[in-house]
Amino acid sequence: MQYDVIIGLEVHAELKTESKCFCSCKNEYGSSPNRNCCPVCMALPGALPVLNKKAVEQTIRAGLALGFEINQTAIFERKNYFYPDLSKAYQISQLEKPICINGHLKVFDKEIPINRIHLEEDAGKLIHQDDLSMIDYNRCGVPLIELVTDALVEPHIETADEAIEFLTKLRQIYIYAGVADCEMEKGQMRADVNISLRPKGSKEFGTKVEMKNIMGFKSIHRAINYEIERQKEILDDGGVIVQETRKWDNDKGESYSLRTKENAEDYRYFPDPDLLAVNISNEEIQKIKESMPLLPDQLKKVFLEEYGLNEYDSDVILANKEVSDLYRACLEMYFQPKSVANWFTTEILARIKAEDKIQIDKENLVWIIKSVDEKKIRRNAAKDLLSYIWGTGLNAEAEAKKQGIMADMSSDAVFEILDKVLQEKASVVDQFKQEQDPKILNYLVGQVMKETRGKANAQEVMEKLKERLS
Amino acid sequence: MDIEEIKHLAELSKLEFSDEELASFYDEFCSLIELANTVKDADISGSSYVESVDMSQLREDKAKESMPVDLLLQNTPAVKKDCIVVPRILE
Amino acid sequence: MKEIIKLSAVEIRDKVLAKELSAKQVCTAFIEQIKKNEKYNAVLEVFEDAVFKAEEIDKKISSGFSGKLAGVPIIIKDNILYKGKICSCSSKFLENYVAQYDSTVVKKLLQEGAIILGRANMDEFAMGSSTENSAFGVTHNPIDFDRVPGGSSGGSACAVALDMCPIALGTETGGSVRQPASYCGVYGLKPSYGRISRYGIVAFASSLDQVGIFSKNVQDNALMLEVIAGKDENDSTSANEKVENYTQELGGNVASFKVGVPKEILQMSKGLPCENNIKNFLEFLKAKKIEIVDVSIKEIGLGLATYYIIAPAEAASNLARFDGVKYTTRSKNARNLQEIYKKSRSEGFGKEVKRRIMLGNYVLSSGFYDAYYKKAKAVQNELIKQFDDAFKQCDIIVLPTTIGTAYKIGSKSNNPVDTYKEDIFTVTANIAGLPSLSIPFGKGENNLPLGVQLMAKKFDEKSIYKLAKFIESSLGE
Repeated sequence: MQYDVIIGLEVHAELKTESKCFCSCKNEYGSSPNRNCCPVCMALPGALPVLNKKAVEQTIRAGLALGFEINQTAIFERKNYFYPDLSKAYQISQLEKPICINGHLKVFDKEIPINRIHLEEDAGKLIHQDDLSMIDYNRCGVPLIELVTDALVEPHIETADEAIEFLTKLRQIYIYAGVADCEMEKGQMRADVNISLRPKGSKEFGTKVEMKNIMGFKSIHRAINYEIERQKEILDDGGVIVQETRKWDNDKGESYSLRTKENAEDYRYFPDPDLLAVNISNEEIQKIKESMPLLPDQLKKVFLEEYGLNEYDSDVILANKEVSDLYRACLEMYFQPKSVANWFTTEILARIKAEDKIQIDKENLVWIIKSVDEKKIRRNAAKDLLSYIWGTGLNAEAEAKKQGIMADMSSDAVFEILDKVLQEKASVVDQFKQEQDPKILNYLVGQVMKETRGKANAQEVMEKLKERLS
Repeated sequence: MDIEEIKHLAELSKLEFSDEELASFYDEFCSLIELANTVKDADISGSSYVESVDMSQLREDKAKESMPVDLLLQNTPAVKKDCIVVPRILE
Repeated sequence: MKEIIKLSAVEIRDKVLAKELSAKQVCTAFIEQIKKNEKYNAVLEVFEDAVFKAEEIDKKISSGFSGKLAGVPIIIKDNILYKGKICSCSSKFLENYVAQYDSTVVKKLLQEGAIILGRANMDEFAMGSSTENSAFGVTHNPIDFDRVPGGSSGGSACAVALDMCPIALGTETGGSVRQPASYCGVYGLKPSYGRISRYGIVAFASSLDQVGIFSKNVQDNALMLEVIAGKDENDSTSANEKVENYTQELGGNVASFKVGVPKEILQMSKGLPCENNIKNFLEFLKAKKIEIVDVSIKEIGLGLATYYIIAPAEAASNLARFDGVKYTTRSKNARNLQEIYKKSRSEGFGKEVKRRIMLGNYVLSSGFYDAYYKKAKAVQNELIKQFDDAFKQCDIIVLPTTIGTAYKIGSKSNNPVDTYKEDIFTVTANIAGLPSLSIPFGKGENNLPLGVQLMAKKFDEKSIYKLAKFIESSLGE
């Protein structure tokens, strides 16, 4: 039988802020256990949450980047359940009035509807060791936004590829908007996926199966395809899908049931009486709009229309914000979009692919690119120079001089020598005029290089020579 | 309201009761709910009371010193390597 | 000279600052009084360092310090955090819990030079109106030993009534300061919601909780509010309202005051022991040429049920953090996480606390939330509006504080709803967020004290104190 697949995504991202969502402890990854904690994080008796303005602004920024409406009043609710990583035994979250409602994101040619983005707090971390579970509350209270796609409205996400494209684009937008770093290995972006199947053409929704906290896009892709196949098999055999939450085991490449709907938690949401509702004015929204950095789609337009780059080069540079930031910074110093782009799509990207981070500053990079463009260094020498100084903090110009790879004579001085050589070798010049043998040109260039003791740019000399002799 | 529901509430509340306690609880609970029902059945509509605050009054995003970890864990019944510990949790 | 323990807070402060008395002398005298009255079980612990702190204040005064509460001994309810001191909430669960930080009110007390003598007994987690729910034994009524002092701040009320301190702090959620004040014959203020920071007060029901003040006279009460009121950056619900110099305003003219009496209250008091007393009070005001107007708070009768939905709901959530994992006592019988939760909580919490947690989870649980909690919040909204309207016609609204006088220990413990009905006149101030002061007025059965409440518009504690001072002076005539 043929089926329509409907995939819903719930994506969590930790916001970039200095302090936590409801207290002034540092929002910092990687500290020793329980170092970034206070009475609020630990849920000591008498402790009270105080909302971080920046966390609200960041949520609005995320919403604006994805075309959301911003609610005029946002309410924070308590989601009650016992688990040791949740110190208060409730998570401060949003249910009835989230900050952002009704957004969308374009995935390939589909405009995927998104139901909401709400602000909540992250839970702490559990470390399981031998017969103990150890609790670290450093992450407890880190601001987290949860985005939920609207699987009830068409068009739907229907394939693993579309889901991954959605996540990739979303991640890119969060990073460009400055909302979140989304470093996957630090768990700063996490996704829950729910999947339902229905017979092709049917209007009724099938039973949803949810898969929680799958780490990494590759695993998500595998998990989705696994789940689609699992459900197909059951339905083809005339079976019934159980509404449940499943856990993906990436090592085994399969999932297993965590809990079924009958055992679902009753979270007893109610407005947190320790916090007031937040009024969000149009002026506040406007201020955030005005401070919004250019997003990938807007930048691409600039790259294509103003810089004259092609589609491929634009996409490649924009795929990594650090790369595109450096690219744009270089253009501010040296506005040769295509020439600079060439270096990025080849040399810079190859190195980042291998090492995962940019290890050169704009000053040195621009100096190298410019020197090649001005023919002060040969391209191959420049590439070697880039490799040499990459990650060392060495100065490109000083290093080029030290290595003697620079054509450090001015063009005028070179041309003077060229004219001198042409006078001295008048007979050879005559011979060339008759025979037009390129070997003779090479000979003449060689003579100039000899005279300049190799400090001229041979290519430049050749061009000038041709000009003189034509 | 029946005993099963009381048991479910005990589970939500993470409380244990003996059968005897449950039974006496059940009787009390019924009269409490009777009291609460006067609100449920009251002829009042309209919205909930909600107090609100403008964004400008929210806390500025400035980090401050946290609590020293020894003080933080001063009352904790079981600690190892600056973590609070419980018997291993099985998923 | 008056005995030290009979002095008011203002008198003590003035004498200590003038060096007619040392803070140490004062402190020692009150501690002696506490020890003499140990059998009342009002104070759970006298802080060993109190005398030392008093000596420090004396030294500071010698080098120019002058605080509004310099050398004034205070007793705090055992749900107010004072760093380094046990804060048990009269619960076995927190029996050994040592506060890791100072509550904002304690910080303010210390800044003004107060000496915190000890912590007062209470109903466990402030749930109750008799202190019979304390895990550490009942507190006895200061006038009749066989009776309850009221609650939940019964220890604090008893301490003030028996001259163990001139001022004590309690907390209010539904009457826990005013009701024991009435039973013990002292003044008890529940300020406007948001007036005093809740930071460092162990939460019962966050949207209703407020610190309250017990005193033997109006001036001391006003002085304390001046010190501890105000916006606190650690409490989002604390109000950005101006704190006035309440003590300066006392003794002003009240001739233009209009006092409102809700007709529903007169109806509700019919046949109750408080009925005559409230009538006498109105006659007394009239005799003093104060205009009485009839007002109506139509839904005031729903206050009690509204309270017993909102308060348990918030409590169920607030008390979930006490789980045997992080700082409360962990059950020795627990072998895994679920047992840590269930056994620790079942062994740690007393019966009344468990009952309210269960009730709270019931009204919040799926399928019941709209019918109970949400509806209760709508009723609250309605009550606030009705009070707003009533205050267009008057400055102060009067109510009885309690149904009658203090009852016998053990006489009500079996039926929770009966006990809850004790709060019928006090809960509305909490639901509506309004300030209310219970002043001692009249005597009831067995010549035991009774109180009446003076309520005002939100944040208008000033008017309450003014009228209360006028009444206090008139009664003294």
